[in-house]
Amino acid sequence: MPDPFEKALQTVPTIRLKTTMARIVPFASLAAKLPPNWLSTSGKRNRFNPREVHCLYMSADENIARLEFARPLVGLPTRRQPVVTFWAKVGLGHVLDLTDPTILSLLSLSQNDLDAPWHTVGGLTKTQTLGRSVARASSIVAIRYPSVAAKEAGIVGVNVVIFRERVVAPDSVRILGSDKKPLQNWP
Amino acid sequence: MATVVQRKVAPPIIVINEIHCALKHLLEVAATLAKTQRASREASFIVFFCGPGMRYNVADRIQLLQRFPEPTKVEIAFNRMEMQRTIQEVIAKWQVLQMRHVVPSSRPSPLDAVQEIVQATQDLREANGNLSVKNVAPLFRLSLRELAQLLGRTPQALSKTPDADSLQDALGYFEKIARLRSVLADDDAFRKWLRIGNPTLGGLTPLMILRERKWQELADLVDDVLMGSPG
Repeated sequence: MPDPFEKALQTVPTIRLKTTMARIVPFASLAAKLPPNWLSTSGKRNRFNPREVHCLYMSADENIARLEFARPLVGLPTRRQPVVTFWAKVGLGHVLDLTDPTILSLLSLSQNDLDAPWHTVGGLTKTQTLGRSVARASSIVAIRYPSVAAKEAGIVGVNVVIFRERVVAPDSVRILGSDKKPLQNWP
Repeated sequence: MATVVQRKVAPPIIVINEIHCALKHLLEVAATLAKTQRASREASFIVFFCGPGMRYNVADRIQLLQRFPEPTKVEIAFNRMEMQRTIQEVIAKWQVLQMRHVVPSSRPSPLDAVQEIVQATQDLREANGNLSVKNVAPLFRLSLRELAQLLGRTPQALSKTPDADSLQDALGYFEKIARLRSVLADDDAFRKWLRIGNPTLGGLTPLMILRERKWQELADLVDDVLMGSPG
């Protein structure tokens, strides 16, 4: 089957992203390995990647990360336990910005395509197909996209999915620690 | 003429008593039954009892059988003895298929090695380490009958050996889903989570997804929560 995004990805404009991003993880999941694997990727499918494509998902700030963490828990009371917020400083050269309506139009994607639930969809969703195309053949290292959790909370928020295999110097992802030395970094 | 009653869940074996019925009518009944066979997760066995006066040649039988998605699960009997023998055979076949009902084990999760999270579901296991229906059913607040239906077993079989080795692959999904308890306040919150429409599932409840047997998908969602992965 032809790749619906292959051609468009060759010419679509990208942005350079230099920012700090956040993620919230229960302490127990991180503490399983010491030192923690902050850049852990499961290779399980997610909104922008099919299975076996390793990606790191981060939110634009702590508030969005909190909304993303809480979303699937539907407001139910949570256990009083340590939860870790960590930050990554990213410098990425070619980022596909799906918060830009022009880019969406160039890729023939709609806002609904970006927001669509994907957990129980049998085949690949449009966003997962896009992620597969990015991972297969393009110079794109990450996708910036609107956070559905933020939208549901009535605010504007952004997430970024970073494709592990595409992060090569001078691109970088550095997990911030207590001093200048990163806790972990890509590449 | 036989009337086919539509049920939500098709029974494993359907017997059609159509004594002295012309082939034309039999084909009409067959059309409805074929739909039932097609719609059910596990196609029902269908036995036609046509009575001693009736005879169908090979062409007639082909005409009848080709309507069904699973013609090997359709039998025709022409007298009471033949009927008895056919039903016994079909019951035996159904039971063998039930015994072979294999659920693939869930995919490995990066959290399988996280002691604190795996510990959160330790109470679902018996002393021998096996997961038990006896513990899973009340946690998910599912009746034994409903859980049996989900697992493709009979309630009697589950009662007899609730921690059977043959159930472990299927119960493994329930264990992974129950890991969500490690972030929720208590079991009551977990049961509520199963029954509240979830925006990440397009507004469906996790229980609905469980009933659709999309167990891996639900286990993956729980993994994402525990890994704090935005989606």
